[in-house]
Amino acid sequence: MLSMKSKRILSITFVLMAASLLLSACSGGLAASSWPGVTVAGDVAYVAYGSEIGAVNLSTGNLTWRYPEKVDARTTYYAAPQLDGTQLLVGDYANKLHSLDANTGTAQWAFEGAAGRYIAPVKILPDAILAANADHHLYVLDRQGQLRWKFETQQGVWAQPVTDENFIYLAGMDRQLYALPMAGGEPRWTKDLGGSVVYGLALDADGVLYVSTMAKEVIALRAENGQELWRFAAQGVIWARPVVKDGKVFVGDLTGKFYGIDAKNGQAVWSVDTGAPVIAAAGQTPENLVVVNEKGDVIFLTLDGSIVWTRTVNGKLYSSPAVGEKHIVVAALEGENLLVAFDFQGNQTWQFQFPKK
Amino acid sequence: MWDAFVGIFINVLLYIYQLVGNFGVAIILFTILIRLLTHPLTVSQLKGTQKMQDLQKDKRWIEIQTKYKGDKEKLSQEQMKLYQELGINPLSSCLPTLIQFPIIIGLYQAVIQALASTPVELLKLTGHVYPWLLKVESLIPLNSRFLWMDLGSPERLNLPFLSFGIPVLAIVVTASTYIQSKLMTPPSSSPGDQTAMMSNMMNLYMPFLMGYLALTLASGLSLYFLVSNIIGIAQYAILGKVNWRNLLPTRKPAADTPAAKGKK
Repeated sequence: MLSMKSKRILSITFVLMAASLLLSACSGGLAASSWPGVTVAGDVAYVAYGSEIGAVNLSTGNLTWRYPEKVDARTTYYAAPQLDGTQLLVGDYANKLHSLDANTGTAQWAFEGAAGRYIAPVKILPDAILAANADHHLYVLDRQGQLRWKFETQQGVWAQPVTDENFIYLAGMDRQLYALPMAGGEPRWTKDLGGSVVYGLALDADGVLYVSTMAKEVIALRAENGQELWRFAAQGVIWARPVVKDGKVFVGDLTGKFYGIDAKNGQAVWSVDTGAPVIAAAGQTPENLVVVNEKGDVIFLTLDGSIVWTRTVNGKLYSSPAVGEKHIVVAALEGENLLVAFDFQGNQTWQFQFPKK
Repeated sequence: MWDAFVGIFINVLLYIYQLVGNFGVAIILFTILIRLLTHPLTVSQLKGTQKMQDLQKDKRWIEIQTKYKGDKEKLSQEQMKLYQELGINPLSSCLPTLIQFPIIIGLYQAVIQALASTPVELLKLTGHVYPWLLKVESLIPLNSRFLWMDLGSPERLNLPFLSFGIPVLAIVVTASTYIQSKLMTPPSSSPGDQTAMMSNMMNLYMPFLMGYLALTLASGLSLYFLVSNIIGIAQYAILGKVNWRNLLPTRKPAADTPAAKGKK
């Protein structure tokens, strides 16, 4: 016969097992997760993924520094880091916007005024930082991280805002496009887009906004007053930010189609089937585009839609390729390597994974 | 396979959401629907439990327990004989529970995945939605507001005169889990036995575990816990298996519940 003590231990073990089973059942869907964010500036690629941020030498693929020194699993980073002179800005999934010394990776300051995740990369202006957050707010900070003002939307904002001299343009999951005065206050105009905006907001030098939505559309609007210029109907849902170059708008959709659209009238000039969903905005070299898709294809395209070369990396490519002077860096989710670099001829130059501590 | 299973739940949940336009109401209706569909399993489980309880009071059962106390092998053989003779399947009380378990887990995951608060979750959700039934582009963003809650975040009720938020849902989930477990615990013939002890431990720890989950996880999930508890109590009450007296600490465990009465 079991003693009372043994029975008690047995009962507690049973309860703990039931608890762990319950927790593991929930955790499959609960883990806050995304894909790596990568940016290239000068000779350095900055990558944020999971619990770490790293600076990688673009020529060699060697790690220059990593942050934080001691990994805290509760803090995760996915938004692409943005360089502001000597400070690197990256928001985390806990609610903190971190400023790091770009040369050493040491922490400088943190803004903790938000309540949700930073999914969008911050936008850096000469005298302000725009930090859109999933807590339904845009936070406008000075360059030292002090809050100047904030603007509330109806849903989270995952797309990086764009700006001209006087206005901030903001689009989010609430299907609205807002034109906000740079100094704060009520929007000058608001436009219902008919579909949520995941990452898709761009502004060209002629003052035209291009917004891609989950309603399978790219919409061109005059930034001055929100007047709609044209709508382009894609085959699938669009997550990617449109890229504007040489009078054309380039964007991919979840069916795997990648389109070249005339920026004047919204007519498709060409389209290419990449064979898997395109989530990320295309990277731009001086004369070409780099398109990545879910099955790990890196496709080097001319602006008229001809494929120059295709390479395939192990993993899913959901992040926009970062392009340097001579390198294209792609960041893979669930792949053998976190980063893979190619030259413009399609030769793989290096690969990178955070070394184990 | 599992993804496809959860996918069915997600589509049903989102279909209800499309009809009612509020995710909180959709969770409530979805939980009721699932509990109704699994009701035959609950009934079957209760019947199995009842048979096992009856068996423990059977003279022949008590006899063989005493007779073969020191011979486990023989005891087991005799028990099996008695099961066969009385037409009892010893697994009949736990099998329906085991079948329900993946349904409950699928339901959790459907609620969480439908809330899709990160890019990975939204992409997963997009892949799960049946395009012939639903259009993800018209569903997103989900209206996740329900009463004072954002169903995608842990719930707190903020009152103007308090500097902190009150976790109302966590408190209610803890209380309802405790009440449910107390009401559903069948009377034990020998309170010192291992099964009764385990039940008591579960009754003590589970409410706190559920309360902790409700405190820290998205309130959409907490709402599911709460509705599920209420429906569970209602189901047992309709079947006449609720021991209301178990809620009163001073009384002895219910000896005159409908279940117990029939055995006297």
